[in-house]
Amino acid sequence: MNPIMECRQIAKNYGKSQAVRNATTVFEEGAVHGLLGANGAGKTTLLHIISGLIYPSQGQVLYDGQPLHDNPSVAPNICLVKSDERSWADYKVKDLINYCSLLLPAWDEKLAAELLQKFRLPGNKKYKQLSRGMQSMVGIVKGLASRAPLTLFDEPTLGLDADMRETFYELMIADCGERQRTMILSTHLIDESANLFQYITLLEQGVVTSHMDKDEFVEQAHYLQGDTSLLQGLASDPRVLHEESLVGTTVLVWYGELENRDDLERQGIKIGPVPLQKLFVYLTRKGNSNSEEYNNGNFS
Amino acid sequence: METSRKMLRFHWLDNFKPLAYFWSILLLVDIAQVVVMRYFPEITNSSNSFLFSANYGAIAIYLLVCGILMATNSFPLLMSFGIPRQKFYLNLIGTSALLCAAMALMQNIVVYGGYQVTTLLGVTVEDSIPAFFPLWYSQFTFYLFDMFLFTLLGTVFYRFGTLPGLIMIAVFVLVLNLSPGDLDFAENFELTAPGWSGWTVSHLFLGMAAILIGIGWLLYRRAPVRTY
Repeated sequence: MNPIMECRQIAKNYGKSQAVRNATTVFEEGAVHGLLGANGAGKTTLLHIISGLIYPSQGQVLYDGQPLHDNPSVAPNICLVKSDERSWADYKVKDLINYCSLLLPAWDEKLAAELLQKFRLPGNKKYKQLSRGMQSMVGIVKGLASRAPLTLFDEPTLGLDADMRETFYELMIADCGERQRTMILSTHLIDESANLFQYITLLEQGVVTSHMDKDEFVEQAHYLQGDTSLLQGLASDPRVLHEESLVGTTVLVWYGELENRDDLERQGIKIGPVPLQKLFVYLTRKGNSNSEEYNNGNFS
Repeated sequence: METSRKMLRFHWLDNFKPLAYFWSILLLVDIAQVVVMRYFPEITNSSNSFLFSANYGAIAIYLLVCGILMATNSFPLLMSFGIPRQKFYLNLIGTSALLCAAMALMQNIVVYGGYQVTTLLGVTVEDSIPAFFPLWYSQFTFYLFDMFLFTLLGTVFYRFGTLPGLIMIAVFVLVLNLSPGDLDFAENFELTAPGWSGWTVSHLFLGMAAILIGIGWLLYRRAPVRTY
């Protein structure tokens, strides 16, 4: 797949702290990307940079090979749905939808009307008077009906009930399938949105630590469960993300190539897949402990 | 061009209601003033020698609020709809100029209409009123300066936070205190508009507005949209 967007060594500083550090990655066209990271990892900052709302302190972002910032021809192709749109607070839902229809070049009036009805959004209420879930729904209507070639969703399902979240996922899959749109989704609900993603981009403390095909990403992780005496030797390997032991049985989470898979299975060790959410948790914890070691001067 | 037209429509939709309320209140007050002058002349301010003089100040205040809102509200709102900064700023200049021109024109119409009505009713506030264009031009240039000055103030608040914004207000107050004469809008517009000094002052306001537009662009060019 061709990259629609490319980030080249971008960084964003806020005073002395760095929200994004040397981030280099690409986002493939016509795919749904999961942008994953713990709280404060820099997901929102990265989304704001690649939508053009803020400038990076260093580096460059390219959209379809053209520089994104200072390029008026690129901006209409990107639609960012923020988790909290403060500037919408004093506007009625119907006014916001009118503005979307007026200002977003590929706005789909029919889809917007369908979604408003499906989500039962009250047109006469101000955005700030809506519940958290309904505010998210207004954002979803904007994102989906914008028909923007690149749509970015920052925590789009905040406050939504399970039924509405499922509706959003279904609409998103259908739209991407029909129109070859590229979507980047930042979410903490990894398990339920895992099936949407074709690519995963992992951010840890402002650094893009992985960007790869989701299946390939998940296939690299394995649960190894077996007798503690058999797994003890592997526990110190840097590819082990997590270790749990209980009365003679040990479970290791292994991330990377498993060269001696057949040998291990022959020895009675059970090898199984790791769900995406769990993998994310283990990778984040490992990243945190590495950075603590680094900060304490124990990093080698 | 298409985007500019759409943004202009956005500003029209966004500002129509407040503008309609503002002028409705102003016209009601003006009508009440004429009624009072005609039927209760003893309670009117006899020292006031200009017709509807309060309108000038009210318009200037309305426009300065508009300037602040353009910087602090319209900017993030339009950015959220994918409008590039350059187009936003060019449109801000165009919309502000149109709004100031329209406000000056409307006030001219009110003054001219009011003059005819009061003359018919036999109430004399001023013997004559300035020529239409100089009166419009002197207002227009001042409103433009006023609006961009406060757009700049709004931008400083939005981009750099409360303290730099407050410092800028302090500078405004200082300059205002140091400047000679008082800020009597009616006197400034109506007495000086037709004369040479009026044109000079108006051109000066236009020049200062152009400088403010330039400074504003330097601040907007890479302005981040607040993420909190």
